[in-house]
Amino acid sequence: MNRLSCGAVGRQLSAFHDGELPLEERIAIEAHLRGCQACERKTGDLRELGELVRLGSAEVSERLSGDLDGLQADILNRLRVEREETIPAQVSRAFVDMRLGFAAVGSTLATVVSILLMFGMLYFGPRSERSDSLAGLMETLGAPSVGSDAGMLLPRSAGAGMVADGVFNEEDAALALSAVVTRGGRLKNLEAVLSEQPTVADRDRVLRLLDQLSRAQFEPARVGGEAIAVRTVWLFAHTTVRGKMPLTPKQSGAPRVQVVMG
Amino acid sequence: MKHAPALGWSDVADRDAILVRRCTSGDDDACATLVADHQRMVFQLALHLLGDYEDARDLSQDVFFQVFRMLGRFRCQSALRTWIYRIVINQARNRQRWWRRRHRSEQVSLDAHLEQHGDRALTDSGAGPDGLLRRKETASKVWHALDALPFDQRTAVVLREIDGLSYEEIAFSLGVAVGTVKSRLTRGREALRVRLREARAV
Repeated sequence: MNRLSCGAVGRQLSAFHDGELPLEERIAIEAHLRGCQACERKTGDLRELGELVRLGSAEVSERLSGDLDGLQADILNRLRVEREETIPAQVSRAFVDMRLGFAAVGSTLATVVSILLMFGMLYFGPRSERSDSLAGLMETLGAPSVGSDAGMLLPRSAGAGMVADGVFNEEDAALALSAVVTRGGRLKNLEAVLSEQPTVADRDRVLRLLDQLSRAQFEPARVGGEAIAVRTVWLFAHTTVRGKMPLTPKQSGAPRVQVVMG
Repeated sequence: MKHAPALGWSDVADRDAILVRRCTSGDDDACATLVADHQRMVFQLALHLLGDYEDARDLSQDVFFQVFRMLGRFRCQSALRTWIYRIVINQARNRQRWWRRRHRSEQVSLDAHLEQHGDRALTDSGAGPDGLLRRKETASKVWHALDALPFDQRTAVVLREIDGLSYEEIAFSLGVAVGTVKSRLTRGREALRVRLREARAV
């Protein structure tokens, strides 16, 4: 068996003293110690050091015993305070007094019910806004035009038809009129579409015609039986046909109004 | 007379696991038990590492708060005691760094000291009241020498000599390899041995 040198033993002596060496190394060191007084003394020193350190520790720790109960109380108190300040603890404290809880729940429910009622009224309630209101006008302008092939009943004049009294007597005239026929059967945004600058007489006649038409009552356009507002364009034509035979009053020309969808 | 069965490692681990589970579920009695079981060891280690009573008390409180905060992450891969040691040491090391940044203490090189004093044998302290008094004085000098050791060496010596931890447990507590623990203990003890010889020579 190889004999260990003092240097090698010195490096392992601390672990040997602590009993942390494998059996083989321990046996080798024990064999060395039996024949080496210097290393044996070092081992004795280690043992004594351990005792002195523990003695010093006992001196230092003497005053601990009396304070340990106080330490435990401090720790537990602070721990309790920390726990009380956590969010779940604060939430549970909020529900300790249920009167506050009931008030909070009640007010929340009332708010939710109010919101639901408001949306219900908006969704299920009647939508009969006035045709001349801003909402009606916006709806009219925003409504997509519907072709006559979609089963739409076009607006027409109520009663016996439109007669332009005294506007055009003997003169022939043709002009386009544009207006919105509201769901109430009234004309809005009525205007004449003139291709050229009219004379003073023509302008006067056109203004009188527009005045009469603005007071006229119409049957509104309908889709599926429901009245809708539509923008329409009329071609207003007045033609005088002179025949050989005098005309009866029935045959005398009342202007015909033709509605052309715009 | 019937002897009680010896408490095995698995029994300790089970007890730790049950205690931890009770603490994490908010059982105040379990928390009190955990503190009662470990407060002496924590306070004593803090006192040995810091050397100041008030600091040690303050550190002990901080350690237990950290223990309770981190208890949910304890997976019983080590003994609860060793896990708590690790927390104490980390907190003490942080305080040491803070302290040293403000109070730079001069440390005597061990090699220089050995050169100056040589490697003489210790003399016997003797018995009786005088011997006991002298022994206490020597212990006090050794203790001061322990205070002067670098933090990691001092911790290794304290954990081994006072708390009786195995090298493996010390390695876990310090977060180092077992070989490192071995070398730190060797160097720390050698420094103390020099101081001891010096005390005996007076």
